This record gives sequence, C-alpha cells and structure tokens, in this order.
Amino acid sequence: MNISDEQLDAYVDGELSEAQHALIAQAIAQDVNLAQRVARQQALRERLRGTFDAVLQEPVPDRLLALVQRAKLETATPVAKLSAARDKRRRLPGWFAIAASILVGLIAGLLTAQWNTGADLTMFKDGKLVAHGALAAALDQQLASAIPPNASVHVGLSFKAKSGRYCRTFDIAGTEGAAGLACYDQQHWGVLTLIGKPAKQGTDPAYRMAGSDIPPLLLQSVSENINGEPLDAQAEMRARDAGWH
Amino acid sequence: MSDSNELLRGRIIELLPRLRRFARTLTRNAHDADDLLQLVLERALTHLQQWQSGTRLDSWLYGILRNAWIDELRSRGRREQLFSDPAEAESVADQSADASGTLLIQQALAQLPEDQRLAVALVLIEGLPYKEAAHVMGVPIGTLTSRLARGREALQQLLQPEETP
Repeated sequence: MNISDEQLDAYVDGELSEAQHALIAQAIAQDVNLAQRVARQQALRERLRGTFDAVLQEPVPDRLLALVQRAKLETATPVAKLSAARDKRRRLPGWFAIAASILVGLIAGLLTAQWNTGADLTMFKDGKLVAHGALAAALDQQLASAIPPNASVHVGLSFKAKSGRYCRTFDIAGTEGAAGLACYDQQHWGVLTLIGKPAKQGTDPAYRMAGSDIPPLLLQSVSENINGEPLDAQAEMRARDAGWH
Repeated sequence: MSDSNELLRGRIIELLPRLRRFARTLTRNAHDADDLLQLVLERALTHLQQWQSGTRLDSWLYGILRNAWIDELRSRGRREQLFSDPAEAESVADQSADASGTLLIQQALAQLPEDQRLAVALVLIEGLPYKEAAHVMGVPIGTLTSRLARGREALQQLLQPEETP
C-alpha cells in the first residue's frame, strides 16, 4: 500500500475518518518503514507539546483576568499598540482614547460616505484605519513647502515619533473637512487621529494648514507622539525620498 | 452587560491558559506574549457581538491573536521579524527554558517562516483540527496542510542531530 506523507501526517493529527484511520493503522503494523515515519512525526508533536505545555501550568496574570472579569469595559485603558506598551510611555487618559476612537470612527464613516464614488480617503485594513487614495498619495509624496494649488489634501507637520516612525499631520479640504495625524507603518499610513473641522466659509482651494490652524485635539496627539522637533523642509524631503523608512 | 456576555466572559477565562500558550509560541517571550494577549482581549471584549454562536470561540480568539501578532510584526519591521540567526533566537527564548531540549525546540521553531510557524502552532501545539486552523489563518485547508507539512519537515531537519541518541 502506497501511503503519502500527507496521509501519514493526517493520521498523526487525527484527521482521518475511522475507516481510513483503520486502513493506515493496518498498513503501519505491516511496514517498519511506515511505522518509523509515524513515530518520527508523533515524537515531534510530543516534543512541541512538552515544550509549550508548561505555559498552561503557570498562573494567569491578574491583569488579564481582571480585564475579562471587569464588568465595565468602558473604564479599561486600551493598549493601542504592543510596542507602545513595551515602551511603557505615558498614556493619555482613558476618556481621551475613547473619545478619540469614537471621533475616528464617526469621521471615517463620514469620509467614506462622502467619498463613496471610488475616491475613499481612508479604508479599514486588518481592523485599522489607514490612509487611502488621495490622502495616501499626499502623505507619501507631498512636501509642506510645495503643495499643489488644487490639492484636496494638505500635509502639515512632519516629525519622527517616539516609536521611531515618521508621522505627518494632514488637513482635508471640503465642506466636511477634517484634520488628522497619520504614521507610516511599513506599507500604510495608519491614521492615529482624525478630527472633524467646522466647514470653512466659502472653501478656499488654496487653504493651507498653518501651525495655528491645528485643532487642539490634534495638537495634543502630536505632542504626545513627537520625539524632538518637527522635521524642517530639508529633513522632510530626505525622509520622503527614503520612502519614510 | 447581558447574561450571555457574562457567560462568554467565563468561557474566555477558561481559554486564557491556552491563549497564553499560543501567544508565547508566536512571540517567544513571556512579557510580549502577555502584552499581546492583553491587546487581543481588549479587542475581543469590545467586539463580543461579532463572535457568532455556533462557531468555536477559541478559533475566534486565536484569529484575533494571529491578526494582532501580524500587525505587531509589521510595525516592528523586517529587522526583527525573522530570527534566522540562532544566537538571536536564543536571546529571546523563554528564560524558563532548561537543558532538556526545550531551548532547542524553541530555536528551531523560531527559524521557521511565520506562516509555517503559525500552522505548526495551531495544529501541533494547540491541537486545532485542520479546518479550524485554516479558518484562523484565513487560508484554504490545502494551503494550511502544505504549510504544516513544510514546517514539520523543516523542524525535523533542524532537530535531527538531537534525535540520534
């Protein structure tokens, strides 16, 4: 009987029907070579289990238990990123994070609704809000010193965050304008903060975000994340040319 | 909070040791594993309504954990992503590892590509059926079994010298 590695693996993993299982078991009993191949896979399984099963015996940390047991989830302080938790950096108060995430959700909805003609400025990727379309393009390419006259998105401050990533503030023109902060994360600009702005009287296409135009909530987000000073024009261009790595 | 949510929370607590084990397998570091799990629990608890009754709660949680880990790898960057250097893998191996081959296994596992390590962790360590493991990884069963087979073979090769007594 010819038995493939795949069938043997499935046998070891208990994935075969009763009839198939019996067939293979019979074949193993008559073939030393087969029996050795099975024993080899079973040994690997046991060694792996033996190595990691020790974790099951450890007491679960109180902070994890408390998190699940807690009746009022609203009071939990979310860990925004694992790396952030590792850095043990000072956190924003819980209410801020919650307010900010609600804002992000609301405005993302608005933006997606407003631009639902295939020109979305944000999208959800693996559960995270990331820049898309014209917003992503502007964050990738635009220099604050050379914003095209008809651009719908204007970048503002660029800086290096405490996480080591490059972040940029941006401003979206339009009747339901918004401003926000995005940080480059390998392939995407993750939108950390997104804040709605009151509609401008007679939207000026040449409108451009100056430092004083940054909404207070966004400013708070910048100061929370920035490491040192914002990039100057030359540093901004160098960072862009290096692909924001 | 509704009664059904209370019930779910109770079931999640029962799953915590296994979730910790999975997180430990992926992160290879006890502190990172618990931080990762905390993040996962926060996400799961805020989206409890997204879990569909009739499906396996453990698979749902493993899936959130897997996604959170992939996110974390992306944000760490490729620099730290693969521990092709065994010395580097050793430095992050669990401190409780002893001389009984535990460290060797951890090092071997650390050298697998992430998709193979996930398949090995879900099927061989967590004991999930192929169907559930494929669901957690978001791939067809055929993809899962081929990643598993490659992961197995790589581990056998890496561990071979140890096996001859």
